[in-house]
Amino acid sequence: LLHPTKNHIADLMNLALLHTPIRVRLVTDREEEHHLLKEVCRSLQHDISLDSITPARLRAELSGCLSGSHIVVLGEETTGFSNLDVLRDLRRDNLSIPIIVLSGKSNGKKAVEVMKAGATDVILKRELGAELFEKTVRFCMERLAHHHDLQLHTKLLDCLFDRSNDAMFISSKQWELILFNKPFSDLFETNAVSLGANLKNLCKSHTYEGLCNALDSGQFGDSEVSVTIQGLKKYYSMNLKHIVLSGSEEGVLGTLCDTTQGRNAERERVRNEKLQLTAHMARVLAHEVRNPLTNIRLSLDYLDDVLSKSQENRMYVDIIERNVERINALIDDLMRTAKPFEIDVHPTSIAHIIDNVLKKTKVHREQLGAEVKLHIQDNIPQWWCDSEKIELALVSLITHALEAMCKVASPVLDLGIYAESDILVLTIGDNGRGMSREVTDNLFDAFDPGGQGGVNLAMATVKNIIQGHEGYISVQSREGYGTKFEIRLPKYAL
Amino acid sequence: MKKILLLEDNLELASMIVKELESQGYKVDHATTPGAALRLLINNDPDLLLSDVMLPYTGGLDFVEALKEDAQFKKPVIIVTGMDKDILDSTRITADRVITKPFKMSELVEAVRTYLHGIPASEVQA
Repeated sequence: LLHPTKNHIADLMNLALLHTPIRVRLVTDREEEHHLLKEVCRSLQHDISLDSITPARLRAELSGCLSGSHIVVLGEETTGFSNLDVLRDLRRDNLSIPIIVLSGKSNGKKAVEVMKAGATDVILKRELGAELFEKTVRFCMERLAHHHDLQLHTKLLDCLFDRSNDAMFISSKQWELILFNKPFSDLFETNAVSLGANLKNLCKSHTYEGLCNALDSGQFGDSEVSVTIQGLKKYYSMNLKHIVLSGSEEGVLGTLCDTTQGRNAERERVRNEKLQLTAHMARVLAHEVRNPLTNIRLSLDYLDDVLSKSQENRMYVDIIERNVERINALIDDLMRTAKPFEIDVHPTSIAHIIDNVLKKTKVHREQLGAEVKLHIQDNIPQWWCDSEKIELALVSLITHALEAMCKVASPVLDLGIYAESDILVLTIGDNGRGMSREVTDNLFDAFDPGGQGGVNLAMATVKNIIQGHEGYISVQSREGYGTKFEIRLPKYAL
Repeated sequence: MKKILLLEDNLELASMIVKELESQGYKVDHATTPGAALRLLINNDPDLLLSDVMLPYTGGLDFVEALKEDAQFKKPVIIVTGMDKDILDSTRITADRVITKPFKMSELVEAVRTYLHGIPASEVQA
């Protein structure tokens, strides 16, 4: 009975309708009660069998001696037999069997007490007759059937909530949480998720802006929301439905299905398609552009002697040369972006990489007067990576950070390195101008039509390098406050 | 006088290379297609091949590869290309030297002299 099934509930309903034989177990010390109930059962037209047992035996054996019984009838109390004690024992033993209590005299207070202790109904012994007993039996069985039906549905609901990978909640119309599952509470970094907590209050932090906006919009049905959890942006397909909680009270059933992986996979697929297409375009373009570039450079070589005689001409020659270099560098970036990086991993000292990166960015940092704050965990072991490529990626990220801080009074470059088990985490933070959500969303997409040209090319190269290490790069930014990049590198890539 | 065969379809570039190498004392034959280059190769027996690899119709890569696979062809080959060097490295080609565009003429002359004379340009007269 602890695990009700649909079949079991149907059986109970058959018993309630008296379609199947009912076995009644009377608990009494009084022989006349046995005879009284036997007479009542005999006068019923339905198949009801009766067995008696003493309270002492019942209390000794409890559920063991009630096996096969459908209903228990507790006889009138005696000095050595308290109905309340027996009821408590039975219910403590998790027995859900209906229990009818026979009472010798009308006592409302006592009746309430025994009902609270787990009795299903109380019958005055002097009123006990065939009709009343039949009615009571039907009522008890029906109540049990409904109780089990409710139990079954509650269990199914619990299963649905507990076993679902989707975050689910039920709330009032005012967004007060009534029920939620673990994936839902995992959405929030705080421990503030509790029954009765207001979902809108939980979403006040800017990391839940997407979810909060969706709730504020009041639009029910499907929507896409994003949430930033532990620095990682996750996407959810959210469905909100109006539900009726009880009577006319309305509530909300919400499900949030994590679509991050699928979304990222789709973005990757589209990106790879673009890469393949543009790889070919880039090769053709590189060839076509580099030929005229070569002609310009060689022509300059020839004219150098003549042109360089004047200081002013020298300046223009330099401008042409610098721009030839710039166009060529852009082509290099495009070529790098349009093909997967070949990564050559070897055990590398991360401290050595940081030293080199700081040397390479020294001039730029000093020009800007940027303070460098290093947070490097002690004793980081050697990491398997392509030091040259990681240096290239870090230099690009630091250059990006420095450029973002060009108008900041006290620019601070924050570098963090620590190991989390087999993952190396590198963070590069700045207090520069920051970026809008639209910009960060597409920062690593070299082909973003709304992108920043050279910046996106360089960032796409960085992402290419990190992905080449089977790593992950993310960016968090807030306009006017700064930007933080986080790179996560597995220890043994490839 | 050392002979150089130049395979380059960009006429402006080719004319500058020819002029420079001739001024350095080399005899330079210029072809714009692998077919024409092959005829000059057979007729003039050059000492060095200087070739672009992305040419219309028949690719310069195929031409250079065929030459390098020919056991009788033992002349140095310098590739001049606008292709990314990494991509070129991933192909089957095994040129003696790859010069990527845009290059400086001094770089090209240095390479030519090194492969024709085995010593730096500053110490050699063609």
